[in-house]
Amino acid sequence: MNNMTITKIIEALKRVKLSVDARSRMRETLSTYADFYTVPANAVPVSRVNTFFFGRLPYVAVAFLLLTVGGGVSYAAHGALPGSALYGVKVGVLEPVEKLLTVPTQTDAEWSLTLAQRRLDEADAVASSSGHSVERDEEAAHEVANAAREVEKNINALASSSRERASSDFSKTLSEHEETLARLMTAASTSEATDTEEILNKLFTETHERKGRSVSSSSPERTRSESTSEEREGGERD
Amino acid sequence: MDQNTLKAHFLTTYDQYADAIYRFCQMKTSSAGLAEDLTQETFMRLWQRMREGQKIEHEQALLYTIARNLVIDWYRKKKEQSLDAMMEAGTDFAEEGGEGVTTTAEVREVLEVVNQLDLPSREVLLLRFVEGYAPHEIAKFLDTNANVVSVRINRAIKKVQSIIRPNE
Repeated sequence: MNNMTITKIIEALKRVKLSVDARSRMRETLSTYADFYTVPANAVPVSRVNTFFFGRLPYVAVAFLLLTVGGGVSYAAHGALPGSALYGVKVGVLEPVEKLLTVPTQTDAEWSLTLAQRRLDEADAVASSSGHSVERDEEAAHEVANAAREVEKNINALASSSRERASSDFSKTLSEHEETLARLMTAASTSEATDTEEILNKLFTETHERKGRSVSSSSPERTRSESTSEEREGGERD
Repeated sequence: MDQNTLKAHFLTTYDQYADAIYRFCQMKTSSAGLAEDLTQETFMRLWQRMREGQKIEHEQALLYTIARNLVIDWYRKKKEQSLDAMMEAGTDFAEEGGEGVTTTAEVREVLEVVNQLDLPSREVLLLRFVEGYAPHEIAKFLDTNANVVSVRINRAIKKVQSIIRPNE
């Protein structure tokens, strides 16, 4: 810093500025923002939540289009199952938008757990649907494995105090879907996706062992009584 | 004012002050990415005031006030990011037409000095010497008086000198 002077500092600071890309991108966003929030006939205070939505404009725009122009598509996509044409819209567009709109109230771990639960429910729905096929089971297995991977990643990122509860919630979800996991594991074993098979194998084995430990450590009567209590507590939490 | 005229004025204001507000936010937060977010949020809030028909006498003063409040809000929630994180975030230090290694190194060194300053010193140095505002104008931005600003400027200069010339 020997050759530094206040003049040099000032000159250098004058060169700190937005990059050309950032400047242009921001201008475009602000222009669209101004079009979105037009000058009202009577001035109405705008809450901060508007800027929250607007920061995520591309997603909101897609969601808006789906909800207006493609309302029917959006509705159908919400109920789409693995293997259907609209399933990509559901997981690629609607759910990311849903995540953005729920971020303030949900952590990443909670959100990924919600998705994992959803993937497992979809897998069950696929199995009982009229269009059930091995290919659709394989796709459901792939989706469940990806969701589980995401849950584990997000749980590992949590502080140890929150991690235990999140892990417990995830284990409970898996436990409720033990049969689903067994079926998906079988479906994955016939596909070429070895990653999916490994993950499902691990999830099923851990869930099964956990259940086994729980049963062996309790008498039949006590187990029934405890599980009912757990279910009731779980129900109350929900 | 109708929508098109007001919007055109708004975008002209953006063109005029975007870099200055960005610099202000970056000086205060030491984060390029965050400074971008805060700059955008600042202009969004300006637009909300414009469209609501609020009377705005000094747009630049209002912009600095909004940006300053956003930075204060951010400081209440987050810890300061390191200079290294800012560098990794890809701050554009280049002059128009290119980014030279020498220039970047020089600015990096300067920012290391700036980061050793307290926030009020950074603020007045930027507004007085980089943006060229007079003490009475800065006083409006900071909601204080010109004497206080002048004292802060003198203190800031002394602090910079003590950092770059510690033995003098």
